[in-house]
Amino acid sequence: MNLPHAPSPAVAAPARRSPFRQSLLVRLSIMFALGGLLVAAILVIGNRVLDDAKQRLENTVIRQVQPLAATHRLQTRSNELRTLELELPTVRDVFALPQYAERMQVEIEAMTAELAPFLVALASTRPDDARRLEKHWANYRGDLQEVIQLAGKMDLAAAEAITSTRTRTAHAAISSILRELVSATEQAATEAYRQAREEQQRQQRFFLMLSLGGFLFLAAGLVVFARSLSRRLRTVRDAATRLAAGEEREPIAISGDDEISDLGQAFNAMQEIVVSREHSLRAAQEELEDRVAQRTQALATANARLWMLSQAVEQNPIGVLIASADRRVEYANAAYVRVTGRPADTQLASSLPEAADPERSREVDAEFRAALLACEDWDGERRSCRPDGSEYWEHLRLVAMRTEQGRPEHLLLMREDITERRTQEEKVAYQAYYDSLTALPNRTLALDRLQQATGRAAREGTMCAVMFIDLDNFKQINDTIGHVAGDELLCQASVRLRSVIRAEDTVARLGGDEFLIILGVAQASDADAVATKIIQAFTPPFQIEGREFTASPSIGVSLFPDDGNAPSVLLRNADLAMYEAKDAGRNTFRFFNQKIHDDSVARMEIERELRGALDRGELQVHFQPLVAARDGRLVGAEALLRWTHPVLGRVPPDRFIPIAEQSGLIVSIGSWVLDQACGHAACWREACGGDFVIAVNVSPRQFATPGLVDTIRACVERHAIPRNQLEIEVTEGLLIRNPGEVREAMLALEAIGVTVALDDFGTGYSSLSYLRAFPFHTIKIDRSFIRDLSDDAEDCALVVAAIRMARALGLRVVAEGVETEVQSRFLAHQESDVLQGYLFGPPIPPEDFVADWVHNPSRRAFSS
Amino acid sequence: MPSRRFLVPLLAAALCAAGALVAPDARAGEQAYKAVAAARKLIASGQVPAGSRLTLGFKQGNVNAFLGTDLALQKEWENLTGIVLDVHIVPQQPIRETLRGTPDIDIAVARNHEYPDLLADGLITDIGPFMAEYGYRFDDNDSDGYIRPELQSKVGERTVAIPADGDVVLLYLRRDLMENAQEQAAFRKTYGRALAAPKTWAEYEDLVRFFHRPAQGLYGAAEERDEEGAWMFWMPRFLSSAAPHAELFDEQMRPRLDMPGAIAATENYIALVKYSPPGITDAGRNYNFTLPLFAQGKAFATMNTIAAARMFNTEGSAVRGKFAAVPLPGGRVDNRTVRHNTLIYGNNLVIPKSARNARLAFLYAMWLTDPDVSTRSIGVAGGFADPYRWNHLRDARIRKIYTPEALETFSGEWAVTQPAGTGLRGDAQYLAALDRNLTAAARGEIGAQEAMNRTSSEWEQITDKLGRAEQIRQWAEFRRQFGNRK
Repeated sequence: MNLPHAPSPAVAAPARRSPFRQSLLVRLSIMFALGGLLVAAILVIGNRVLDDAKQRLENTVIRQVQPLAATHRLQTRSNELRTLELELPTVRDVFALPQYAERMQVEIEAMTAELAPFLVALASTRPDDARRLEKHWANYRGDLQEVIQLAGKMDLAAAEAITSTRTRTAHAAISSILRELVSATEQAATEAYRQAREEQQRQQRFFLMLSLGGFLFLAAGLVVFARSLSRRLRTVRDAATRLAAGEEREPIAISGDDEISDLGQAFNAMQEIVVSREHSLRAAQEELEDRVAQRTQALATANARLWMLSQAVEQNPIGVLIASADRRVEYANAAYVRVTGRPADTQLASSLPEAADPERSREVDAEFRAALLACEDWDGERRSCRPDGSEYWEHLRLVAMRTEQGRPEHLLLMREDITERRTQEEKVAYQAYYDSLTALPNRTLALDRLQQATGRAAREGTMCAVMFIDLDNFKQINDTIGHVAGDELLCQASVRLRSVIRAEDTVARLGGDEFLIILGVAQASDADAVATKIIQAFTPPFQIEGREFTASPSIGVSLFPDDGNAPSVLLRNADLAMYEAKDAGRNTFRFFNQKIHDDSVARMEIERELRGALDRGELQVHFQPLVAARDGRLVGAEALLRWTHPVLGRVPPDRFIPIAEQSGLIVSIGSWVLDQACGHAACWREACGGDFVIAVNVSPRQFATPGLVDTIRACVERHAIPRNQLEIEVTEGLLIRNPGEVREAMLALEAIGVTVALDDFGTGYSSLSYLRAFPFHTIKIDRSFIRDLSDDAEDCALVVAAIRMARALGLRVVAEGVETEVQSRFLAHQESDVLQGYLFGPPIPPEDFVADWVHNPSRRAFSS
Repeated sequence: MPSRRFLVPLLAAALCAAGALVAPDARAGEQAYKAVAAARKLIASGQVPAGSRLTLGFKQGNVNAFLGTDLALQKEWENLTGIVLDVHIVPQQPIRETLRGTPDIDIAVARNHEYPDLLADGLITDIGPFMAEYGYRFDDNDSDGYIRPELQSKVGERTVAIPADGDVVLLYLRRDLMENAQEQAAFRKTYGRALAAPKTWAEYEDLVRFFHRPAQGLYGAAEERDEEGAWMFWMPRFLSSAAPHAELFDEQMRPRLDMPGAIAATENYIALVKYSPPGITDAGRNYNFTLPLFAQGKAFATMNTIAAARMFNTEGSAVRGKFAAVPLPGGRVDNRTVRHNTLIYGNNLVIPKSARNARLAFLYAMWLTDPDVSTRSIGVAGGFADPYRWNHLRDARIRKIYTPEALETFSGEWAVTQPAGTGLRGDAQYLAALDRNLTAAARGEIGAQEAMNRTSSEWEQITDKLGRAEQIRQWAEFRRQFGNRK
């Protein structure tokens, strides 16, 4: 094992030094002292030479420039005076004259003060010019004083006479002398400058020669000294090279008695130590390299992250601008330029670029400015304008990036073009509040407008009117010519409605063919007039796809505050009044009144009572016999609903069934009736010989409810109703609404053995196409035709035709409302199949029907 | 070395202390100090950014008066507050047109009679709330208060302008001629009374007639008869035609121009034309035509504001030391003389409704019209604005510029000065009709009676068009401002 710090003998015992030895320090000091003295001498001499030349040149320039500058100042003042005196006569307001006079006086005094020393200096070199200049200035000053006097006198014409003649001459003479002086001074200056430059160049050459000699002497001394050092230093260098290369490591011998010989000995000692430390250094180096590699890897990772973040900013579609705390812009990405339409400024301005709508942007701009000046976070939106004139919505976000101490260091301004988003929002808002077909306000906006209108009317003590409009025969037109044409009709109707009201009033479409109008009115008669105009506006037919259609409006009107305060109440009352208009024959209008209100209340009362009627057992199913026309034999019964209320008494079916239909109660009640009818029919069938047809009315509302066919099927199965012994009676209204679905339901009923009868035949459209398109089994001729059979020949003909037609189509015919023997015989003669009416019996409770018909065979065979 | 943030308050404090030491009145400087302090508070609170700009819409002649010689006052305001004053030179036209066409002006100059139209058109700001907020009021104390501020600042109960000028009418006569013994003798021989300043409009006409010597290059009168502003020289004659004063309308806004006094006033107005230089009724022959004639010694009499005294007292004026500014004549009613004056041109400060810095503009106006600051503003040789505070009349510089005698007459005339114009919404329309018919009469196209009849008819139409009920209300409000101050 080596001992790295064990000194060799040479190192341990250094050679004894001579007390007089010439060390390198001494020798170098002597050389540098000599060299320094030489350089200092050269610099002192050179500096003196250059200063002398520079001073001479400056003096030359100053001697010439000062007169030139003074001449120029005089020329400027002279011209200023000339301008003032020329402007003075053109003054339009005499009260402004003192301003000019005062300024002229100030300029004259300044010119005099400036000219005095100039003339003294000029007199020493060009006495003639000095005398001429003094004389002309005296003349000019005199003229100007006269002009000032005339200004005080407000005699502008006289002043102009002087300025256009005398002062022009005087000023021209002064200008001419000054120009001559300038020219002469410039010539003298050029010559003096040339001489000074030549002297300066000569002295520069002398200085260069002196410097060159000094440096050559110094260089020679250095070469001699360097050669003596070089040889011994090479020995040490070669040994060091070998040591570094790991080659021969023998001690070296250096001659002399100076620091270099000391260096040789020290090198030998160092060589020993170096060898011993190499090992430890190598180990340390390896460890260090490991650390460097780790740091390098970390740095590369950080750089990659930094690059990634910078790319994220650079590629960001949001315009990003970074400025220092003093608002100097340091960075702006490409999107910033794209969003704003112009390059970023070098300074983040306290005001935003031009706004598309300055009035609406004022508040946002002020907030932005305040935030920017306070270095606070802020964000907002505004509509801006690019330099090319295009407008856009932008979202601005200002973020102050702070140091750990909270001091704002940078400002980050993000500008995002949100035009598309705002457009989308506006579109969504529009769709939320406007009907897409007619572009009229929809129900939501209409209710809002109504709220505003009532609020305004309440504040101003005025009234407003609400008109609920329904197109009378829109559905028929829509079904006849299709939805596209129906939509066109609605559009044209909206245009007509819009045309009859004022711009500040509202027309809205509530849905379907229902419109709402909100008017501000002074009195009820104003609404009356508008409603009349609406009726008139709908008088001309609508032109749709080359065809003409007539659609009349039914209008219900309610008034604020007479008919209610809340918008919902006004709307409901207008709706009620509209139904009143419908009931009054359509194509008319009705104001909401007490009767409508009472009827509505009564309807609501009935509806409320009807809701519990089933549970309270107030409903009953009555049965009216159906007899064969041929022999009067009982063939079945029609189930009819009856309601006996403990207070209201017996409520007529035509009063409560429409309410049940409207409220939807008919679904549950209808199911109950069906079940009751089928149950009784099942009980009575045996007693009636196995054939007993039970007819049950089914309303359109029941048909619209999913699962009707399943309900009927379950009922048929529950009560084991044979095929063709349950007949469902429907009206034509059902067929109009959803013909496709109804047809499918009828076919499904036919499949389970349930027949379908068309009730009240003859009262509606009685379209033959219905009979062909739907799988009916029976038609029931309405009682209104049967009632007048004996008196009205036309009714006879219609009934006969209906029976013939049904026969031809293979349908069974039931005649309703038979009350006389004559009618009965006629119908039997015409081969009607079944008869129904008071002649045979009224609708009666099931227990009475059992007693009167089921257990009374003679009655069953009443007519036979 | 103190930093800037300490230097400015120190400087302001030093200025205020110096002002307090040299000012003749304890209140002088207080108004300016409050305005500067309030402006700085606005800046410190961030309500107004430092270095904000106030845009001043001044006419060319206003610049020296409002910004000082070599812009000294402008620099002083900017040094004190850091608020930059940006002067826009606006054209010589009714301020209503300027404000409509130039929306970004913060402070502008308006004439007294223009206020009602400016307010009705929504062009100027009601500064009452600012006055209340900052504790200002237009004090009229006789030490350094505003002179009759109620005539120069209000429309009804609303304060709309800051007084910055004092344009009552004075009559200028050639004193040298009146003191000439030969002239005095000749006059006494002709009219049987001493040659003296006229007490009535009839005496004035006698004087003018007496001195009308066109062959000698001397005209009796150089009183403006230009259509634009004709009402200004008719109104004093009209007001003094009845006691206590004539009124343009009755309580139902029916014109009272058919009264004998109104006809007489118009006849006197017309009568002076024949003693005037040729072309006096030509369009554009305003004071730029009449004042030089008087200044050159070519006219015996003229009428104008106190500003004319400054012009006549200028070095070079032929009448310097030879003219006298005397009170306006009056009318003889029930054996006593009724005298009235009125405010004519005027350069008062209003804040446009569209001003971006209305609050700052108000503070600047209050600083500018402070007793001390305004004295320096008025004491400028080439300014347009004339004295409007009592302390202005005692200032040595101002007395030298205007002459003490003229200022004495000026001071006295305020007591009989009535508000300017009609005081009505539509003032410009009413006065334009009056101007047009007065000029037609002055040109001899129609007589005095016809001029008044036509004016009455046109005024009725204007009243009906603007709404009689509202005009009646405004007229009743305006009438309450009439009356003399002793």
